[in-house]
Amino acid sequence: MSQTINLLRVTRVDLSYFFRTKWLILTLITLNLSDMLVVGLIYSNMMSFDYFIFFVPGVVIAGMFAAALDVGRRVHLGLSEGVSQYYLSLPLSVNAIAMAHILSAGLGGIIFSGTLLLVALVFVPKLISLSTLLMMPFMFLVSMGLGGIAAVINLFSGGGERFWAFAEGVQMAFLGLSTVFYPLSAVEKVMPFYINTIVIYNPLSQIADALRTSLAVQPITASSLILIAITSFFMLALGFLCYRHVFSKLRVQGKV
Amino acid sequence: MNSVQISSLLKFDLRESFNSVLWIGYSWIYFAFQLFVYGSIISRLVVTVQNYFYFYGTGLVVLSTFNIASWSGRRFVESAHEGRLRYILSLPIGRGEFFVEQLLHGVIVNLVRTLPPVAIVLFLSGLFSISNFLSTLLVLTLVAVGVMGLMISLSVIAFKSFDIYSAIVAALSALLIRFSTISYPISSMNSVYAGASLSNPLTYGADLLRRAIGLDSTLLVSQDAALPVLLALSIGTLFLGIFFISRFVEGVRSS
Repeated sequence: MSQTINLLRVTRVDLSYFFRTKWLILTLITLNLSDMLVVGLIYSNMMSFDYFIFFVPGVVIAGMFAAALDVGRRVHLGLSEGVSQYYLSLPLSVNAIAMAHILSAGLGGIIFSGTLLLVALVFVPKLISLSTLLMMPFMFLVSMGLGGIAAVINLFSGGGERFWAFAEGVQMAFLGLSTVFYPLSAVEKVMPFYINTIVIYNPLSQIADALRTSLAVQPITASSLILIAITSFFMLALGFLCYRHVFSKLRVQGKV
Repeated sequence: MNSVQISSLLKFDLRESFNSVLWIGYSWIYFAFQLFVYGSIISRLVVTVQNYFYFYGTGLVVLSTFNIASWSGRRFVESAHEGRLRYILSLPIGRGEFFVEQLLHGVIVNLVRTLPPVAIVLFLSGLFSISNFLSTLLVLTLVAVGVMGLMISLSVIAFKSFDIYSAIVAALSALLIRFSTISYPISSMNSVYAGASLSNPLTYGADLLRRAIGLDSTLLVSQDAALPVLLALSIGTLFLGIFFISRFVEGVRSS
């Protein structure tokens, strides 16, 4: 029981650090709102369909991705400033510390994207639906999975400026090879079939398309939700193992 | 102006910036991905602009220049934040020389990192010629000098608070990029956005580049305004940067 309480305390501290980093929050808000209200509207004038309606759920998912991925930066800061070493001195297992960070990524992602979604509802009222509400737990799950991706970047980049470069690359690949910013039909015209498969199974494509189902008539299928859950759990497990490795090494060697 | 002092400091800074070929290659891969994945797919969706792929490609080159130039400006502030600036200021080098060195460093890094992207975009659009290549580099250098001068001028904020500086620079960069004609022509914007775009120097940078290489002139903002605006920005921010560096730069608060 005390393990769970301590886990939640570490999660709360980690999450509060995300929202206290003012420059980051301001950057994320400016980027996402300007994407939504400038890029989306202008591209709408240049395309043959209402791109704005298509783009807005994509921006919500892109914001969720950036917010969830920030856990990697916080872990790196924690490792370099001795906060992680302090966590290890608490009555808390390595598994619990790893899980606390994954949970914090999930909460950061869902809170930030939830806020963006509220803004989006003002401009796209069609998004107000039961299926959007149903997507929230899945967005939380995907955010935790993305926290796992941040852990992988942490492990392979060694932190510092390299973390940002790796994170930027991963962000570009995940968002670029997804249907967050463009429909699958457009991707299929340009990319070879194996890239299309990656795009289809990318969890960001799945969650963005699921969020868009409230705009269309067709309902969300159970198979798409199961697919989201499976890919998110896979990323989450991978991330958990990476963080576990990092914190175990820190416990034994005193540094990573 | 002591050229020996400038060149020794410049050599030291350039060695640091080019110490990893891998990272330079990484920035080219990043550009290629943006152009060949995002650019190709979006250009299939755009119906109002003929050859949007080339329009986007030239915009992406300007965007890369903006990113590299603002990185150079931020690097100046970070060096202050990390204590390196205090050491440099203790050297027998004048403030003016130091500013020129920072500027030259930014221009060289920008040229090296944008050379392959520029060549690719010009080849793909069938507009490659020595004169187009050189005029593109000249325009990008002007943009880079203007942006670097702006970022170094803004560094005066960092001497009060590094966090506020980071927030302002990040927000300003996002707005400058979006309210410009880097990714879309002004004819696609509503009057409010077009107004904001017309007061944005990046619009004129992208405009001048497209005009210099002979891309569809109907998409441009103005035939005559681009060069004077860009020159005014570069010269204005240069003087502002020199003024701030010689008057205010002493150190930086640790938070």
